[in-house]
Amino acid sequence: MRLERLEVGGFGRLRDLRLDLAPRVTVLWGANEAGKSTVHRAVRVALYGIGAGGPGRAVERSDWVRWQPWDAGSYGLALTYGLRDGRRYRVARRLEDREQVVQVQEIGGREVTDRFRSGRLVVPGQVHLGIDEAVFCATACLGEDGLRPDAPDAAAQRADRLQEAIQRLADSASRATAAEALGRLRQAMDRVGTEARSRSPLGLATARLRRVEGELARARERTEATAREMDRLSGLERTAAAAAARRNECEGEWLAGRLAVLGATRRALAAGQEEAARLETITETWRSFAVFPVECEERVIALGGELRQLEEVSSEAQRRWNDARERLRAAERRRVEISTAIRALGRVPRLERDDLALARRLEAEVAAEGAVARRAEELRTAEARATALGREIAATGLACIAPGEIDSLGPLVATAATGPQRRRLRPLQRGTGAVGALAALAAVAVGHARVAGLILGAALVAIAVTLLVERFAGGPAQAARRQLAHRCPGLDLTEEALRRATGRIPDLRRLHADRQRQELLVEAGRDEMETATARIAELSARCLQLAARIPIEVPAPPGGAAEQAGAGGLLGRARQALTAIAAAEDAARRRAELEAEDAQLAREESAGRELREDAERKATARGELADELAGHLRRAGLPADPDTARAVAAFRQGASTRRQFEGARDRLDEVRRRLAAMGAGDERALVRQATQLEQELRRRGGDPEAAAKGTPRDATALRHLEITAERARELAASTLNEASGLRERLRGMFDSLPSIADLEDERAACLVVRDRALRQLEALRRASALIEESARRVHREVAPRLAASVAGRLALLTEGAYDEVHVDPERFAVRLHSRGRPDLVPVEHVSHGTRDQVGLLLRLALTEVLGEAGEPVPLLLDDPLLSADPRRRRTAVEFLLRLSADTQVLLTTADPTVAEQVAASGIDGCVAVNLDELTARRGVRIA
Amino acid sequence: MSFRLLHLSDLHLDRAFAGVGCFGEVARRRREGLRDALRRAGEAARQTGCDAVTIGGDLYEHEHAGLDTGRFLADTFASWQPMRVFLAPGNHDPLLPGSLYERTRWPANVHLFSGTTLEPVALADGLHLWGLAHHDPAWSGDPLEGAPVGPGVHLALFHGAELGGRPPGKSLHGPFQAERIAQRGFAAALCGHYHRRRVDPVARLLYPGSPEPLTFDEEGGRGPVVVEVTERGHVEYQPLALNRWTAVQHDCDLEGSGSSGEAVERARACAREALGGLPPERSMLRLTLRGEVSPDLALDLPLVEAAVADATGVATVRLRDLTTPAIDVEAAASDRTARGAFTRTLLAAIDREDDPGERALLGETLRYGLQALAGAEVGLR
Repeated sequence: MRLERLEVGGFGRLRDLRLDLAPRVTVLWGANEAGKSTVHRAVRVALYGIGAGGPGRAVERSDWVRWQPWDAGSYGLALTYGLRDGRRYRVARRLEDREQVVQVQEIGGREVTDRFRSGRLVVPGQVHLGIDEAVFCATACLGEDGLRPDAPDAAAQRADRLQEAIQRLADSASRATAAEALGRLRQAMDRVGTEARSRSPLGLATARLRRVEGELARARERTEATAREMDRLSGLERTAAAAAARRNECEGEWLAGRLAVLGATRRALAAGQEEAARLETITETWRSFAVFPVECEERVIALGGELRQLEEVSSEAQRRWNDARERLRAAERRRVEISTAIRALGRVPRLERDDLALARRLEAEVAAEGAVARRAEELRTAEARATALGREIAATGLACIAPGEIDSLGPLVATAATGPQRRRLRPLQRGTGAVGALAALAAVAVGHARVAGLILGAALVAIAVTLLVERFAGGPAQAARRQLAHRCPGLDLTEEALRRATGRIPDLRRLHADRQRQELLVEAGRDEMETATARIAELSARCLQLAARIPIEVPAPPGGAAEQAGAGGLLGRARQALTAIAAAEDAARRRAELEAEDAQLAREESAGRELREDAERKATARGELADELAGHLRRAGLPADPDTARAVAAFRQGASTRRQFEGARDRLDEVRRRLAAMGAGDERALVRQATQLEQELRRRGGDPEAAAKGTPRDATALRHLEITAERARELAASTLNEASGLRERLRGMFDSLPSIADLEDERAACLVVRDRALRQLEALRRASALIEESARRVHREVAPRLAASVAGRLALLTEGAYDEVHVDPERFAVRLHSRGRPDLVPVEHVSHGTRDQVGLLLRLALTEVLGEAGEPVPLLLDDPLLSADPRRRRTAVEFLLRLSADTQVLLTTADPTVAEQVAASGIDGCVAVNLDELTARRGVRIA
Repeated sequence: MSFRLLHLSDLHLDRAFAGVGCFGEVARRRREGLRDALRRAGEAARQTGCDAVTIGGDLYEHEHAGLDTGRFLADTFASWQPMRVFLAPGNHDPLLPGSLYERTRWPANVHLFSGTTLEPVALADGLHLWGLAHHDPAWSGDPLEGAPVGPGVHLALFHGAELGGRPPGKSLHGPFQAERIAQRGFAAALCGHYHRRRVDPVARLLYPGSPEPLTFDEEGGRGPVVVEVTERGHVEYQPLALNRWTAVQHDCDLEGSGSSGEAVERARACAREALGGLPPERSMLRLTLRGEVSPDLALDLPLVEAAVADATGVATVRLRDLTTPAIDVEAAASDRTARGAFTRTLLAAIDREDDPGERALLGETLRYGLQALAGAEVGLR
């Protein structure tokens, strides 16, 4: 940026000023109060505006008020400047009002004011230089102390100030260094204090909070303790109330119990007196039983029992005897019969086991030979069948036809049957026979037997004649008949018979076949029968031998000898023998059975006799017991009674009566004693006592009438109630006593109980203070940490760039005397490297002029580092050489002239030699202006 | 015959008032004022011919309540006989073991609802009062849960948060929807929890509000409401104004104040203006300091509070400093100095932070840091 023209309408002491600035160095010289510093301020105002008060800043103390024109005229200024790229701007500010009017015009272009607004301000300096006003002031605006070559301070102090200035610029744009800011924060933290510092606000709040919290905890404990005591008091009161209620209840129950006892006593007295009267009557009535032999009761009862038992046993024995008597008689009769039967059986042969076995085997063999009998029967049947067939053949009327001629005679028979037989004479024959017979009978009847014979002979002759006629009067049939008659004499040759014979020929043939078959069977069986007969004969002999050996007589068989010699007869004989043996066996068995039965019956007879003896024995014993019982009854004055049960019951009744009498007597004595014990004769005292108890019970809410009617408690229960009531009373009393003490103590506790709410309030207040302090502390700590960290970071970034920037310029300006600069990032300590020295030289060890130059270059470098807008920042030097000696002043001016090659310098001074030096330098772009002359020219107006 | 009752809630006996800047004697006066409010409510009930008093929870604060409070309540309620008193514990006075509700021997005219669901008590022929108790300081059940009630007129008494009119930031205990009141067949829900009065005959909802303001934002009408159930079953409300204390909030512009003395003077003037016509000894004032102030201005709020209290005689005053230092933060953030780096770091941290408390702390950090970097004394807030 190069400043071209400053136009001041009115600003401080300046009025209507127009200042054209040289491109390199402009020296404004003039006397004091000529307005040199005002020019500098006017340039700043043009670039950054002017504060007119506002939030937190009083208007009257603002720069706007301070720089108002002295003559109260128009208040405003304008600045024209150009940039590296050739653009040119004019900033015009009218400052009459606090709300200042600003206009930025791009020369040759349009108004661009809005481009330079930052908040409410218009700051072209900030936009084009890249630094705010603070940085601009700190870096580009140097006052009297900015370049003071001959300052009285020690070199080290001046170096420190330089470092501090750089730090201030780098940390906060010249307001404060980070260290100073940290110091401010530490001061604030000190004001807050710490929890450990008891005199600090935080310490006080913390200590107070701890105290209050302790008090609060104690208050809560005391409150809790009081609450517990209250609970205990409630418990005690409940216990006392319960005990009182219990006492009242027990006393009520005791009273009710006592009333019940009294009521019962009174009732018992009445009942006892009544009972005594009743008992006296009873004893009087039963006095006769006073001597009843009650001691015999057990014996009588035992006798009764025994007698009843014996009667039952005797009756049972008698019954059994009665039952056995008939059986005994039957047995005797039976034994007679058995004896007779045994005798009737006679001698019974002794049958050995072997004989019996042999007999069984023989029986088996005989049975086996039964097949022979069946075979014989079949033979007989075949014979009978053959005979029957013969009869059947005979019945056919064709028996005359031999079996071998049947086939040959068959056609003859058929032929004979085809012709008719003369039978017309047959009725005549019959009639003749009948008449002859009748007549014969009639003659016999009348006694003419001869006549009758004659008649009958005549009839017969007549019949024979007719028959002959019929015989000889036939044809072929008749011939056949005749042939038949010849070959088969006896064949019925009647027509009818022949027709039948014709039909029967097949049957005849079959009959003959059957007959022949039967005859063959008979023939074959006959041989078989002969063999069997011999075997059976031997068998029969063995049977008979066995019977004889036993010995058993075998009866002779019926029938003839032939019959006996046959197989059937032999077999029958054997069977007879075996039957006889079997009969003998049966007889022996029967005898054994009878003998066994007889023995059994003998035993039964013996048992029957024993029953009889037992019945007799028991009847005797019963009679003895009955006599003893009768004796006891007699001694007791009781009538004899055949009925044992009744007798015993009568005796027991007498004994019972005796005992009842004695019981009544004893009871009477007891009742009399009890009545005496119950206070018989002093009922008034009982009534008085009951009345008192009733009154007591009524006081306790009880019902005396119900109590009097209630079940009386025993003495133990009443005593228990008394004890319980007493304990309840004692408990109630002790509990009430304890409760009373506790209540008194609680009253004191209540009165001294701190208010938790008050303490909570106080605690909350402490908390508020402490929390606020802690919060402040935390914020301050954070701010400190962040500032420290930010400063360190910025320093690390800025230091090398500063060094590079200064080194370049310094080498150029010192013609290579110093070619290297090192800037410490911690404290911005500057060291230089010069030719001829191997080490770095601290800036405080170099010459004053070099030191001043380095300081100025550092400022310029800072504007670049902090701004980075790319525009060179013009240097506004307000009489920085005021106190310098002429040599240093000359050296400094020379440095500025060299510096102005790339940095515009506006230098104000009261020293005319500086202006002269600049003017004499002959460098283009450098002018010296006498401000006094300049301000004498008026007429400048700010548009 | 109509039935009349007086409903109140949220008395918060034994409350700690440190949060509103009341300490020591003032706090004690405030607590005594709450007891007075209860006594006045009973007197008002008697004067208006009420048959009963209903208390919809937060009668006292369990954490701070002393045994003396139990005795006070029992004695007070006993003195209201024959009026019946119905208590429905809330979240600040839950029916916990060892609570005052349990430890106090209540007189015969007191009925303490103890179930966690609404249970009825007959008030008169055909008129029933249903109530419930919080057994947990953080109970979040629905108090109106359940089947519709039967015939007759039914009133509900409970401590709960109606979701439709929930003030911002108000805790959620016993949440319910106002529509449920009619759905369950209640003629009115006599509630407690919200400290601002809400009489809503359409929704059948009544929040009487705390009888005395407990915080600075509890402005407006508040306190017991007479509820009358007419013979025809209609419910009519008659709010009473019995509070003795007043909460006032006022802004104080410190714009341009160059010194703490000037700021104090402005605060005093604002306080006088805010308290105009109010009895200062029963007023709670909160001044909110606003405006852009010099970064050099160091305000010690407790000192300013004390100065305002001395000047006005107000019972309690609390300052809320919402001023901003006249620091061009944007400009500071744009430069390349350590200040710029510090500002940018903090602005970024503030921008990232979601927690309001942490943001505020970061803001204070920025403020302190910029004050320090400006070479000014750090003004603590």
